[in-house]
Amino acid sequence: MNTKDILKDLKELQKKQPDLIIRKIKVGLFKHAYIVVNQSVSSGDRVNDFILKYFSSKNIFGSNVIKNLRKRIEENIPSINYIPVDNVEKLYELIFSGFTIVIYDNSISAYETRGELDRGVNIPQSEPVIRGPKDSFTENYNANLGLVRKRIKSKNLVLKEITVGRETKSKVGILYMDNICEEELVESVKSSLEKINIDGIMDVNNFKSFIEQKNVTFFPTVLFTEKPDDACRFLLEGRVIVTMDNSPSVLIAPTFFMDFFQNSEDYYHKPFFATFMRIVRFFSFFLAILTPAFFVAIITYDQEILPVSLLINFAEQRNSVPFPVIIEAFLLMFTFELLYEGDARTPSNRGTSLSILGALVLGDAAVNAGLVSPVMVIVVSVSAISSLVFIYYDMQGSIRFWRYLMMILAALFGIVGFVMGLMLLLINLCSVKTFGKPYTLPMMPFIKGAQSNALFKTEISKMKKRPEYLTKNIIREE
Amino acid sequence: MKKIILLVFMCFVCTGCFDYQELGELGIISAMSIVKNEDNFRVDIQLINIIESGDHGVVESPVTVVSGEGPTVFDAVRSMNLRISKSFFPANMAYLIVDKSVLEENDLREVMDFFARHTKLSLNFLVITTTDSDPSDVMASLSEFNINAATNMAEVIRLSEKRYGASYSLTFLEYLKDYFEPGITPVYPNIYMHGDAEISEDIDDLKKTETESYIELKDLVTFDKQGNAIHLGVDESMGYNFLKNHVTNATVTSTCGDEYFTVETLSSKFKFEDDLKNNKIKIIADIDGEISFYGCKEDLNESKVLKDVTTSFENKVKENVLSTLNLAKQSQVDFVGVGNFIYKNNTKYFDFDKNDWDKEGLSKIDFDIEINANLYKQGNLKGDI
Repeated sequence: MNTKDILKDLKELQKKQPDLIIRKIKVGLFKHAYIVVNQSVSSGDRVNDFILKYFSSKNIFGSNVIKNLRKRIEENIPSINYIPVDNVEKLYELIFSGFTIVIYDNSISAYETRGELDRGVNIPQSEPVIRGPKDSFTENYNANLGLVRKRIKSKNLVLKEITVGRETKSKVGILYMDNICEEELVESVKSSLEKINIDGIMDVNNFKSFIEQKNVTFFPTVLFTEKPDDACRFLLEGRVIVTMDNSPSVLIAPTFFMDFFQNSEDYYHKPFFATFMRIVRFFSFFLAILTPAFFVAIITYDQEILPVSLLINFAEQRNSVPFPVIIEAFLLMFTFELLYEGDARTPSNRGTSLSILGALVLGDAAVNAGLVSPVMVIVVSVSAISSLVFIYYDMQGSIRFWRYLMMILAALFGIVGFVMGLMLLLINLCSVKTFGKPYTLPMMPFIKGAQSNALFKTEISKMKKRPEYLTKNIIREE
Repeated sequence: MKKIILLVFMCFVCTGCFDYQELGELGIISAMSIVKNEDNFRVDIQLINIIESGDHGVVESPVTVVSGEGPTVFDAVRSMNLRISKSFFPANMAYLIVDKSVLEENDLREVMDFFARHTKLSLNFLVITTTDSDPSDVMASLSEFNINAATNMAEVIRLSEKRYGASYSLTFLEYLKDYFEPGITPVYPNIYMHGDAEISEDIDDLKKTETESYIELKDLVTFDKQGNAIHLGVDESMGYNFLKNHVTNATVTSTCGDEYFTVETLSSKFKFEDDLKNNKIKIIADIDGEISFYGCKEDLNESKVLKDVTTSFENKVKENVLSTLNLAKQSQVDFVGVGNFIYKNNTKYFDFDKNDWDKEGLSKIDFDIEINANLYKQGNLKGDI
């Protein structure tokens, strides 16, 4: 590496990137050292205290300048990493990672002076809980590792690091328990991530398209969580978690269908209540997908199913609505989608007006205007509320897709279409594989030993074994 | 992909968009009557008036009666579309009134064919008849308890069968069975119009405390081959229901000297045993009941008195059953199904294909009736009366 050329390039770059600082410091009588730092990603205090202060000393000269600096930092300030730079590409990566580059004679060395740019550990936004830990992962990679490490203080917790993204050079960490997790699973996750050859990955959520590409399904086959306690629980079950620089959530692999009916709070409540809530969630899944379709099917094709009083009641309500049932259903569903998306993107201090307007539009006004019938408002509300039971956004998305598909099938073929749609749903669920294992485990195929923490939940003291479909090391309590 | 194609194909095979029907397009039929006028069928249907029935309080008639005539039942129904812009929806029909004018074999078969082939019918609607009123008057009559008069009457029939034992809710499915099986003739609940038919159609009549005109359940009736009505009185109706094991809670009042006591049956089971070598059918019954009213002078706590009361009750039931069987024999119509029992258990005894069971077979049968009752002492009257 020719340091003169590098300096020339850096000065050119400085014209385009004014936050790149290049300081020329006189060393001894005739020589100069160059300090290069990107002030946006670096801590000014660290650069001043540990680098510039050293060079301001009058005692430094001769050929041991860099050697002494390195020695001083290694001996006195172990928190700062020192990295010798041997290629240009690495140099730029380090500059933009917050390192301070010291160029002296023909040697280039980098010292970690990264600035703290993350928001700190905060409460989980997308997975709010009442009981249990309330910290969440942040955009800081090391902080995320720390949140896991402080829960699992074991030498068996292994971290494998890789870099993903040609331009972003994002650091990705694969965490797993060495004594529990299957080696094939780790290798499978690692090789999937290593194959990624893209200019940039912004968040760990981007990995799902690289990991679940073989499955033709709208159901999520990987789970993301921003709760460290959840992540650690999954680690202890023998799963792998993937964390990434600048990502406030981690990826869990493998993920099964039943995982979406569980919540971290289940583990902090009495088993009876946790089981009850899981059953509620299980029914809500079907209610969310099937309610509008079933209503459309019986109202337009199979009216004979309804008791006469209910039929008359529905007929009266539908009497003033000028649209076919399916249009009415789509109209109301679409309005709900608008409100849902609007509400998700609206700051909380402005959300009240949206709620009031939504309640009026979806409720009374739409009925009074004769656009929708009251029973359709109830049907859509039941479906929508049921889908909101799921905290995982990906699951909500798949519920939406299936809900619309079922509605179309019901509108075209009545109860027969409805039943066929249901079969299609089951076929799709059963055909999905997650890291080579059936997605519907442990229900289909039924694994008796894993039922203590599937739909039902037993006391944690009685859960003495790990799920046998995840690991061969199943003994949890010895 | 193959699975998806298969599923879509099956959807198309099993149903299709052509079955799509909005609720507003349906004319919901609550009751129907069929009468034969010379060569044509006259069909009256009671349609639920969707617009008006939703109003609070009765403002206008909650039902509309439409009539149509045609050489076939199907034709008669479709002719109503000359004035009604609805497709008729019979799935929730409460009852069908079969007039005696359609009891001629071919006509009745056509009626049965019309309903039996309708895929959207549950066949659990009731089949009734009216011997003393015009079916169209019954159809137009309103009810004070239910905006849907037909549903109200169907409930009346079911409840009186269950709680009184003197009626029988004949469903269309049972009707088909009774009609086509040998050795049994259907028995119909018989309703009639009490008072002036025109007043019964008037909504203002319902606003009065005591309505002047209404439809009422009369008795059970069956028809011989000439179409003559054979009426079963209260005792015969009760006997019929006992024999057919239709009774859940029947009330039987019997005497103890000059006084009366009433028993409410809790369960009853009648079974037939054949002794056809002696031309005899043995009827054995086990009945559990509770004395719900006791007006006799004797002390019921004495075991002899309870035994006497039980015997009196058994005799009364036996009397009812015998009078039912005697009526069948006298009228030469086996509505009890004795012939059907023999047909299923001893086919060689009588040739049902070549001979007329009602005339030649039933009259030769003697009945030996054994009633075993188990009565409980008078207890509290629980719940509703």
